[in-house]
Amino acid sequence: MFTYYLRNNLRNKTFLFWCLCFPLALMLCFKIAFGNLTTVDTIITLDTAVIYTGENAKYEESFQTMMDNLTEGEEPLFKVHEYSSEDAVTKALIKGDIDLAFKVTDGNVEVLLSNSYTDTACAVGRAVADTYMNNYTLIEDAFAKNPMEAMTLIDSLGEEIDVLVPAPSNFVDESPNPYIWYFYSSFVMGMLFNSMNGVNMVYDIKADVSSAAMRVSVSPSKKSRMILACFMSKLVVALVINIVQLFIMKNIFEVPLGNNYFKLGLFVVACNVFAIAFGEVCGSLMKGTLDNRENKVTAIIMTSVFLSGEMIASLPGFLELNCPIINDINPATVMNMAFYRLAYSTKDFDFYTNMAKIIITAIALLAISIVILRREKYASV
Amino acid sequence: MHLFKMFFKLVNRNKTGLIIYGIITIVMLASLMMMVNSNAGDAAGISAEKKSYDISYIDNDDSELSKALVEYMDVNNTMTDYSDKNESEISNLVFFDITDFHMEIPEGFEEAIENGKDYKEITYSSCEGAKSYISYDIDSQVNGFIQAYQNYIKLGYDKAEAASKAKDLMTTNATLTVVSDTKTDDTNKDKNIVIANINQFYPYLILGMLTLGIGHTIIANNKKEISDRVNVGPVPGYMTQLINTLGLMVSGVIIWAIFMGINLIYGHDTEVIKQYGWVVALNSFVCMLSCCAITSLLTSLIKNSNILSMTTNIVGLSMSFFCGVFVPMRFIGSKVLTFAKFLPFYWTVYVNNMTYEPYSKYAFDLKQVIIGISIEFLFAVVLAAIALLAASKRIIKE
Repeated sequence: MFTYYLRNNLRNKTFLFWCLCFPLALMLCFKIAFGNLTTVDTIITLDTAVIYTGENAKYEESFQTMMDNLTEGEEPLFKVHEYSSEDAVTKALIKGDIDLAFKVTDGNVEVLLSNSYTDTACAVGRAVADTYMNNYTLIEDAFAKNPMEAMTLIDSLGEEIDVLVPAPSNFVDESPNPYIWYFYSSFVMGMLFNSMNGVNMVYDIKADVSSAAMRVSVSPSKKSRMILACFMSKLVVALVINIVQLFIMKNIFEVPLGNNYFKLGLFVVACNVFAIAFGEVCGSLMKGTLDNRENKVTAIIMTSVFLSGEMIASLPGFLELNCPIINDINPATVMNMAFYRLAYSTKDFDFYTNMAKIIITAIALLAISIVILRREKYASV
Repeated sequence: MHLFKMFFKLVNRNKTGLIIYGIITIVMLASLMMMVNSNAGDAAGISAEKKSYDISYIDNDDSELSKALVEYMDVNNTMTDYSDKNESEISNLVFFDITDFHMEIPEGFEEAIENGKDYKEITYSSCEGAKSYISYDIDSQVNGFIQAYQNYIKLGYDKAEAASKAKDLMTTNATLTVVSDTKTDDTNKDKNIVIANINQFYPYLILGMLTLGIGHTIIANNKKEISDRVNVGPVPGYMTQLINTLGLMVSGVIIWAIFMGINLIYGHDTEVIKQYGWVVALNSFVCMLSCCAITSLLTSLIKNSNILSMTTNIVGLSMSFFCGVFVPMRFIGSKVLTFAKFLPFYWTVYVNNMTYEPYSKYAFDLKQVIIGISIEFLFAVVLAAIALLAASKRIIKE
């Protein structure tokens, strides 16, 4: 009976596509689309130009000294280009030859950006100009208030202070990559599609739903063995699919999965049991043809998956801030949270909290589904 | 006419696909409007007019200096106090990028700063890498402020005066000017972003609606039982195919008209529609033609509705990801974009990008617009020709 159900599952191409291929295809798309995002924000050497239009030679000279410092070294912040006039600089900006330009007048530095400026050019240009202007004002203040101290102050301005240090990371990476959520979410979505298997199980076992189940019902086999064989066959296929996906995630998409295979195994088994049991309960309680029941369960799963951030990764964060109860009761979010804490976070407590939620719900759903499937009697068979 | 009416009766019976994509459209619109309204700055990157990072903090020091630092940072950023949140919640909010930068000011911070170099450090966590512009900018703001405070203390000011002077000094910012050869009216920035995004998602949505909404009807029409029944009637043999194509085109035009309606009703006062409305209309129309051609091709090759759903999802999602529908083109790697040039969606997105430069960073260029739309049209013609060939081969085979 186990082999029969197993073969049935393996012949179900639609199921194999949605559970195995579709999540992997999505992950491939994510890898291509988001692979470059972390490098986009990284500061690289910016092409710039400086225009001097003022009469304060000292102000211009100090700015030039600062720019000279910023153009030195192996990875300089700026590469300065020479232009004959302000018009030429404007044209170069519009054409995209330079990222930004500084216009230095008496006591003021203006940052010029093209209409298609990058965030990096804007942030770096502003930070450099602000620092220069503020330091210059500070020195002027110092000479006015305490000329003796001013010279010491000028020297100390060259010394860099750094009061900001990274906190001990709660993540496996120093800076967490939020786009990793899309991979976890796609994997969880694939597992939740196993609910279709649960609906199919109702179709395989309940005699008032299909002729195949009616035929099985009159066989001398024990109902409990039948349910167990059917359930295990679906669980085994789901686990094999997940192992393949996890292997691809780790080795091809380079998604962190953590190093604790026991926890990973526990997570995958619990989530699949939950998904199949959920499908069984929904399939038993809903009315209509197999397609109708599957469509209704798909609608529930897709809503859950949407709220868990499959389409908009920051949505669970938005909900966490404004309505955390949704995250607490949404199965896809609870699974995603468990997966990301298992694979990406260094803290164990939250992972086990989420696992407890999944396991308790899975056991409850399983118990309900067994009661429905095993206890139901049919007058005619 | 009878067959044409029947086509739409079948569409009505297979309306699940249209409903699903209709719901996706509504959800996308609602999410876009919600996210743009809640954080307009982020939606289009940082703004040249104003610094705006979402920074969260916990002030364990509660001193003159720490308060002044938070006050100063609040001038140009949005500061949120997270002292009521536990470590796990903060960790989640950092991971989901709800806060760009979370910093924790340690107890005794002010005292340590006054003592000179042995200062206690502010710890931070952020999704942004240490080399990102956000880290650079915030780092420069915090360090600049602390340095100014230290210097004012050295000059003989007391704590409160030094903190206040440092705040005044640091809030005097450089002017940022955007130079451009085109005039940009940014009065409706949020609406412009929403409209630009609606047009960005349009290729994915129309392909889904045509293939999953109308494609199932074509597959049903192509079934042997139906075509045999039609063939016994007094209609020419090519009529089923013609009705399928006509029905598809009419459906495409209706969906295009609805999208243009949304553009005109919601975005009538936006720069995108006022200045480049004709580009949006033409670009989306040609995109609709190429999506009709793709649908024709898929329905000529595929006989089963389930396989059509699978193929559509793969084709639609992958083209959308490769061509910059879901992620702005400027974030996609150059190799991926080179490959994407061989896909019709690339040209739709490319032309659409030029309708709102401040968001997409692509300047409007009429020549490039014409080239883009022409290539898109060529895709439609070539795909339609292949679809015709595949359909006639299938008919001969049957």
